[in-house]
Amino acid sequence: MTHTGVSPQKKEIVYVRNATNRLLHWTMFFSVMVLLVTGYYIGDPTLILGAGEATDTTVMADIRLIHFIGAMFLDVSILIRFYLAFFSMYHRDWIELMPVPGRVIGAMKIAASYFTFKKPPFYLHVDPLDGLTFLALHLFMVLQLMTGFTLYVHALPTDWWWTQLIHVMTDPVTDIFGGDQNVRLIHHLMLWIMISGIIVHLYIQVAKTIIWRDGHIAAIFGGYKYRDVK
Amino acid sequence: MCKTIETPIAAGPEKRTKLLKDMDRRSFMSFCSKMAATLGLSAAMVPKIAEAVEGAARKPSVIWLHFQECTGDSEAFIRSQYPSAEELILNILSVDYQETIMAASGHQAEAALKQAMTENKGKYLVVVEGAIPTATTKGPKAVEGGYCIIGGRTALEIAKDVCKDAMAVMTVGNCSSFGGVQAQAPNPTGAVGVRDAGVVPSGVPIVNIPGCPHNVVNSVATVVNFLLMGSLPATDRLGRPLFAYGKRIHDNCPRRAHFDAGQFVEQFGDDGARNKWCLYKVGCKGPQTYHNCAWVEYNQNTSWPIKGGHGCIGCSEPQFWDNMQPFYERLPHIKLPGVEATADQLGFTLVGAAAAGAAAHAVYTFANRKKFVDTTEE
Repeated sequence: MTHTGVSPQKKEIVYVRNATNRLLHWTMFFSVMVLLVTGYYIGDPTLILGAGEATDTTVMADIRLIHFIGAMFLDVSILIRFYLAFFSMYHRDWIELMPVPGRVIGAMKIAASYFTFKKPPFYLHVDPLDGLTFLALHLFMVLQLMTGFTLYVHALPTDWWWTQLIHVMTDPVTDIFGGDQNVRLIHHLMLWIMISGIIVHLYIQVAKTIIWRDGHIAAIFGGYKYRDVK
Repeated sequence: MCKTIETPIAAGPEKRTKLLKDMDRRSFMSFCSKMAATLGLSAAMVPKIAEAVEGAARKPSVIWLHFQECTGDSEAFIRSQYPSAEELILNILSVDYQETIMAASGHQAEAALKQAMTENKGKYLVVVEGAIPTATTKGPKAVEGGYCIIGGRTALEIAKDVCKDAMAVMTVGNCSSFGGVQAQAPNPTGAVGVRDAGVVPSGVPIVNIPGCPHNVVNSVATVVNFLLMGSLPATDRLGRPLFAYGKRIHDNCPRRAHFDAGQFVEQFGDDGARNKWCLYKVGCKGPQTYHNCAWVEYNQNTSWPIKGGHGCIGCSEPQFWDNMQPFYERLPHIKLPGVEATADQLGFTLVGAAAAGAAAHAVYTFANRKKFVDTTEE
């Protein structure tokens, strides 16, 4: 890795993300992309396949089905990710998302480094600034999951045991937000908050990779990144 | 909810009185079939329903209370056709006290209420129409629940008094079930539904028949269910009978095919509206509303909102005036200080801010690219 205007720094390759970790990340990525597109259509649907007989097309039904399948993929990967964060044999990283004082100060230092361009200390896994943005993104995703289920449960047969089980979680959500109309509003607002969050997340990763040359983006594809050799 | 009470059906054939003498057999059987259909029972139950209704040894005595309401539910009640209002009032039920339609007034009316309560103690059905105010009136004469006083007694006192000896309580309309329009923010009179007012003793079963107005078919079917089984029907968590409120408007909507096909009315009066497309985008609340309008319909199967080209406003749901607003849009507006924005306006702003921030930093980074130090700080 050479860089114009700067003396080349010797680097070594370190393995930081195992296959499960990467697979979960990309499962979440593709389901979130599908959910954002289909979710926007469900919130503001338009005529796509013509004004013919209603029996000829099932656009809305298909898009809702894709949305529900995407949601199931996201929900299951979030649950697996939560489990692994606490019980993984490879790397238990839940502490990296917690706003403990030491990491909050670290996050502020890293944020400052994006303006001073002084290289911050190397973090093998999640750096503190990323940790805090991931915490926010994960909380939004959990809120999205709960409000989503609250809207989804109405479509299920009422006397099914599975419906009753979901109702145990969704009835308090309805009560907390004061009705399903507000739940829908929150679910829709989350669409925009998620898009903003993804823009910020993506930008930070790209900027980090360009500025510090640590192969941060490569790590999420191949599992390896670069560390400076003293 | 399913409290078993001695049924009139147990009286035996010899004690039966011919209650429905004015009704011909055809319309009576048609009424029984309709009740079976509404309750979700098979055709085999129709003779049993006929037996239960006809063989009621004593007509159930009904005391109908009016509190904070617009009498819309009474209006719906007296416009019932199968069975007709007079059959309902005189033959199927014994409506002993109903302020709107009773001939008596003043002290005579109060006496009728007293008489009905003492004669049928523990055996009468209380139908409540209208919310109960619980707030204390302001001013020198502060009265708890003083915003609704009938004959010198507050609604709270009347409801407590009448409900304590009741066999069952049925709340008709959204007001008596959940508070209705007077319970909406800021709710100056402290109006609540009967279930939340704490006026019904724990031993007395209570069933909510919300709607604005209630559908008489559902109310009568609840009574028929009671005559047939001796218990009130199974209810959901909001106390609404599942036979009528177990499915959403959306699940049985005649326009559902257009929803699934992605064909929506964009505004009232457009081609979509003329073609009876889905009203989702003009604010239909059918996807959140549990009611059986779609197959029972209102006013003797004449029509109901969606059939008439108007979206559902969710009148059988709690606090629908507050929670289902705005009635003609999918999402509520967001109240920010000084402005009112849609969710999408706020969303575009958020995404725009994030993108602008990222772009600004990218430009800043590019301008300072010479400053990159590719070594860890010493």
